[in-house]
Amino acid sequence: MRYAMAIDLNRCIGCRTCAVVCKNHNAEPEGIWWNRVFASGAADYATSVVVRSDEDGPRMEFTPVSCQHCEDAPCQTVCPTGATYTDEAGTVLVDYDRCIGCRYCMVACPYNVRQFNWNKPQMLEGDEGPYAYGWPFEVRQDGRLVYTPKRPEGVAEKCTFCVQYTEQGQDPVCCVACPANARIFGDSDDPDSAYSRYVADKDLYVLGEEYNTHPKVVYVPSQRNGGSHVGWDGEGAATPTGNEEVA
Amino acid sequence: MARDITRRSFVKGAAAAGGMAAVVGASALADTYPPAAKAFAEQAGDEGMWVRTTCSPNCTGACGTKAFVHDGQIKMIDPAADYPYPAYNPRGCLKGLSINTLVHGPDRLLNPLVRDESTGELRDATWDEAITKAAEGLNAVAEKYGADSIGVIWQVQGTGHVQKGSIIRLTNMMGWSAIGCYEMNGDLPMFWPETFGCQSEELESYCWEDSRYTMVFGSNVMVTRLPDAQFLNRSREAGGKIVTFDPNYCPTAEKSDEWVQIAPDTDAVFALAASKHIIDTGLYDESFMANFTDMPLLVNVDTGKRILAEEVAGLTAVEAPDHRSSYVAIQEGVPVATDPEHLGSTDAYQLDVDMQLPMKGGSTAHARSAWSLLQERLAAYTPEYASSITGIPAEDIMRIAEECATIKPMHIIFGGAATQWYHGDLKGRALALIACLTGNIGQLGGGISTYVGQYKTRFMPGSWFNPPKLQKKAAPFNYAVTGRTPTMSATFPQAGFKGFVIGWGNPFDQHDVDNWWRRAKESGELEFVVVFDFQRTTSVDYADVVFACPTWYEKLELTTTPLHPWVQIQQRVVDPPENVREEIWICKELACAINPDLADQWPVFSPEESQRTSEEVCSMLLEKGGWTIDQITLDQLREGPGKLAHANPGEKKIPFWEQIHEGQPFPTLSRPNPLEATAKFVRSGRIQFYRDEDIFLELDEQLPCYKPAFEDTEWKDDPEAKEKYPFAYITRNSVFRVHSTYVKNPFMLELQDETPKAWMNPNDAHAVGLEQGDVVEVYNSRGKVTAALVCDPGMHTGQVIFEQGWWSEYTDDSSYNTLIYPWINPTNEVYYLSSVWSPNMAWNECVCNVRLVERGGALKEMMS
Repeated sequence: MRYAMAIDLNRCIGCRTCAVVCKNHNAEPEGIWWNRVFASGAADYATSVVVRSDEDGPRMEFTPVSCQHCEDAPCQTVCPTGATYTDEAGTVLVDYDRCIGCRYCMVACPYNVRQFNWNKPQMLEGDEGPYAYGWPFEVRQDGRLVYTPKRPEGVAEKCTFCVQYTEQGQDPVCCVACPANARIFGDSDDPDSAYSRYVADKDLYVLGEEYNTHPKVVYVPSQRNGGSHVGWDGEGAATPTGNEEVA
Repeated sequence: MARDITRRSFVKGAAAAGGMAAVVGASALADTYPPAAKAFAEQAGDEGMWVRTTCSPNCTGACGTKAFVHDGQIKMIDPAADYPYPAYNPRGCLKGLSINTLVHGPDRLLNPLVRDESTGELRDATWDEAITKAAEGLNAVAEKYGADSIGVIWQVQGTGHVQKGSIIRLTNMMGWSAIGCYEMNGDLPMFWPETFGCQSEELESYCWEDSRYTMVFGSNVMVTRLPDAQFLNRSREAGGKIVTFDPNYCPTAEKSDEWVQIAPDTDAVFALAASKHIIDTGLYDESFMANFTDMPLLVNVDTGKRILAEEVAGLTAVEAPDHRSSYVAIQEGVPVATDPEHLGSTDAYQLDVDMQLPMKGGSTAHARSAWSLLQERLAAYTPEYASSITGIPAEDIMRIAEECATIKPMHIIFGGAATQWYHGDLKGRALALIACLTGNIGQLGGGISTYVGQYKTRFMPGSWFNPPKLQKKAAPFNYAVTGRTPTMSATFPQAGFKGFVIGWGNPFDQHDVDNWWRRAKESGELEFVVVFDFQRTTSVDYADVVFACPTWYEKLELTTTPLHPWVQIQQRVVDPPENVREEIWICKELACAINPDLADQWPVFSPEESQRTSEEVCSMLLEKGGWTIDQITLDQLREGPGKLAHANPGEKKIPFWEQIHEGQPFPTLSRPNPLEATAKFVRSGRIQFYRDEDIFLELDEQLPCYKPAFEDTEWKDDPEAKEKYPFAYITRNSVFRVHSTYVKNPFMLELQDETPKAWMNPNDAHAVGLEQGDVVEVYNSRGKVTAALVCDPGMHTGQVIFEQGWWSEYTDDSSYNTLIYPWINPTNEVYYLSSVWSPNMAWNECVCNVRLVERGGALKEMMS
């Protein structure tokens, strides 16, 4: 069993639904986005960018980026406490109890997806006092706290492939809710899984291949580029909007 | 009757009581809610529970969702993904799937509010006090100025027929003026009644996957039709081609095979040039034009009027109802009377006719067919001319014309950004010409569709909307701002609007054109305003009485949409908080407080019985709604979506099937109006491209043509405006809002840096000394708005874009719509049928300029 996710950039319409449901279902506090959508080089949402030259015209290639669940995960390698680990399904998880907030993982991750919780409350001001959104129960894996709605201070959080759902045999919410059906999840070891069937006849690429991290999140390139990709370049990934800062 | 416990503490208490609690809880509940009124949240155990419902603000999505309830609250939302047609799964978007942050958010109205007479401020009130004050205020206005001086707005019918239907029922028994929001919102595409005689028809989105060539004009499907957008992807995956015509590179352009950058508001030129090329190259469907359009019908060249059969020597008109006319065509060289009740058997009608026609009484008339006149009209629209106006290379115009004429089915999506101009109807008529010339009307995956607003009435709702004591009145909003016009035909209150009842809308931001709303309220011209809403909008701040209403997760409602065939219900997933009450009860109480004699027009029920009454009304609407819906029951809808019936064979509804394949005359029925009300728009029973009403002749708009932006509006009104305000002001829809809804969603705010933005082409910005990150003011003689400047190289020059919907607390208390003026096109006034033929808001017909407020100020704010 190796969970994997394909993101088809031909289908992705850049709507940010994946980012928002991820935040909502996983009780991500203000400022924390486990899942973001970039239009690389663009100043803002719904803003285009001239990639090569005026002759090529503007572009707005959307690239959703969350934890790539690397087979050789640098964040796991550098973690001094073993808080970051890979479970039996290949999902890279963080034990909230063990994380000491040293943030080595944030430096090591080439995808800039680790999100440090500075103890911002995930609760919103509500109509009848504080309101807490998200899956309301803790999830433990062999005793390790891999999800909790009551976020401890100083943990470098990230996507869990929605461990609260995968442990029940369901897909991560970003795949369930993508209105363009651009995200396909499944067991890459099983040739009959939705994932395996979807990627079987497609050319794929991974982000940052040169880092040799062997991500379990793969991308189907947009045919607008003749099969090559102009997409995410690793820059500007720290902004919550998924766009480069206006500068 | 305030509840002294919150919904959370109530549920917790009931759950904590343990084994006996089931019984104790039930009897305790009976005092406040009969069994049917129990929210699902109260049935959920400690493990929580998923509940199926429907998300349906005014976005046309009507997406089936399931909410996870725990501890008396919604914790998160998923798509229901239970549509029997699998490709409709999932539906939802970033906004609707996070509305729990608003349902339980800080801007909820928890109590009715009244304006305190001593302080002038809004304060909490009891329901008795709020309803009494509302009744007194509305009665005072009605006694002074007449009941019709009270205007009523509801946003919008398709999103709710029971609760929102109750305000329609209330309006229809009070004699208040119902304002057609379809036209007030600028959604009414006037080319539809002008050409096809109906309000509009459209493909449901799952038909997009059947199209093999799709042309998109003024519709950012990938942003504004988000749950349906995947069907364009499906068309592409199946080998279809998507061509998006847009001045600006938008997400829809990104997901298309071809982006055609067209100069703003010039779609008609392209459409007419393409039509000319299709005709010149012989690629047109002659049979379709002869059988189903008015092209073969003869026009008296001297008068411009279509010739009636009864006027012609030797001809007898074919008998027809009063709302139809028998006209004249030429068949085998001989004049024949047309049959306006039967279509499809007139292949032999000659299209090109120019002759002297013997008339009764011995005279002759110079008669030409509409087709002949069209050829003359189109002569000017050469590819070269079109290229000079649109900026599209002439060879591309010809290539696309040939592609759209030969690849079938071909579908045109014609959206609000293209219609919402003063001459938007001319564009629609020109594009409809392409759809007809290519024979795509009445075909699966073919034709032309307009997707603006969740207005469409998909069944007959009269059993609830029309009380026995019916006093039905309507008036267009725009005249409130412009004053009466010499050409108006609409009913309009003698004194103008002096009071308003506003349901689920925010006109003090969203319709504050020329700052009319705020000016009228502040000056006292507008004497009394009542608002129904669930959150504290700008309009609430201007109201005299505010009714605190449930969200669509706290009541039972019945929803439909033009975008898919599924009838669905919203369910009471959680209880309304504190003193929030359902609209059906509020409307009933308000009616009885205004006039106790109206008590017999309503079911008898207490606030606690609102849910049960809503269920009964819902069942009645289904049962008496006519053949499209009467096979569906409420019990079925509790389990999931029910499908509307349609006339044609096969899975998917095909617009105009009955006309093209069964010979029925145009128009189709525009519910809830009777056929007679709209059939007069196309008296020939055919698709009419030629309009012979006097004003069309006077304006030389008897046939589709191109008229440029601003010449008949801004520049005519103020000749200096061309120099003073060199940019077009475009207020597009944002992915982060549905109009004024979701503004306060904290996730959406975070994604936008909580900053309203204005977009310009960088060349335009630099030319006026502006840089990205500047705080700028966009202004004209009517109003202004401040925003952070973003430069977008994919934008056509000459525009400033602002994303609409922001509440004015985010824009220095100014409303972005103050810049806009509701220009009234006299062709929109020839007839008046609310929301079908009426003056339409032309949001984009607006000029502006832009100036620096603070260099780099937005950058600093966003970086902090």
